[in-house]
Amino acid sequence: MVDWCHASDVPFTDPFFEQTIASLVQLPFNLLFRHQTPIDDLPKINAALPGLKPAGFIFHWSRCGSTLISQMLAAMPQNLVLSEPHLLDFVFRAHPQGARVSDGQRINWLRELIGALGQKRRNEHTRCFVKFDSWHTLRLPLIRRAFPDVPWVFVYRDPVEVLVSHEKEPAAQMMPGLIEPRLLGLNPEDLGQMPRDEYCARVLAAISQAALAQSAGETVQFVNYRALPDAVFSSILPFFKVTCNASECESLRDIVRYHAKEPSVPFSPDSAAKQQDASEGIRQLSEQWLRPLYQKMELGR
Amino acid sequence: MSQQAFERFRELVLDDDALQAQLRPARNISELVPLVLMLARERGIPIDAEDVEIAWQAAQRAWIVRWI
Repeated sequence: MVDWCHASDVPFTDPFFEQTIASLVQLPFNLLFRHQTPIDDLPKINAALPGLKPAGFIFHWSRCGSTLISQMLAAMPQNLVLSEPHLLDFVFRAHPQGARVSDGQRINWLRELIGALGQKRRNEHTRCFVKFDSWHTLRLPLIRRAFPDVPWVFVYRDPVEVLVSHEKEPAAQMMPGLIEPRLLGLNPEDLGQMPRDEYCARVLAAISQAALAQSAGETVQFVNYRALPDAVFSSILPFFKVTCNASECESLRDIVRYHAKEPSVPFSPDSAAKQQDASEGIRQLSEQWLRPLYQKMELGR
Repeated sequence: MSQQAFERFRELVLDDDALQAQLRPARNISELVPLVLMLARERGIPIDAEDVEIAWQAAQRAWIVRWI
């Protein structure tokens, strides 16, 4: 079932989609008059109210500046930016009553859900961007079959810094078992004894391998965290065919002054601190599982 | 009174943009309840404050459980 929530002309400029939804369901009308429809009704709904066709997708390693990019895009009033909407995860994980779901069905669901999410919220919306959860990079082949023409970027960072970030504050996807082991090239029995930091490195390795594999034969923008925020202006906007006038560029530069995930907090660079905090174990894991892939992504920039 | 009556009113609201526009601005349940009672009464649907309270608690519970 698909849950609907009246969003009025709320611009969806929070760092994450779920934050906007959480605010909207605080309005009693949205809960008391909650409305659900079967997912199979979406084609008819989308035919009556078509959404904006996606203008670009953002995939990423996590903890590498992808939220900064989505926040900067969202600062332009023409852009509707959907930052990691969790309902897309259901498309990839759905097994209703244990039944197998075909790739064709998942592709249809993905198109219809993104179509519904991409409905214009404001008259000035002309473009829609989707930032996927980092582990959805593992589903790139399916996503590309659903949307073969949408340009996409992949955001990454020095692997030591990403590993240190997850060591300090592990993300949900770094919980062993949350991602199907076969998507990581692992067996379920591998997970029990694997140290947490190694599992994290293996997840990141699988994500970057998926991005690199899909990028062969496609035009993809690989974006290194250290090139941000300038890369938004020099690479990402042109790649997504977005022009930005002086006033809009100023609005985007305003975003950079604050922490992308906590917009009330001034931004403070942390790469040097993360490098300093990295243990020998983290550095070894980085060299073993991630550095060669990082260097390939560097070649793709 | 009746949860069925409340459900009848809920279906009416979901089909009526103008009714939704009247109910949406309520910032909290205390503001919403009198609006619901008035609009339901105008349409001959017999619901009382307790019906709305029961529906509200069920709605909150259903939303929380959704994430489990």
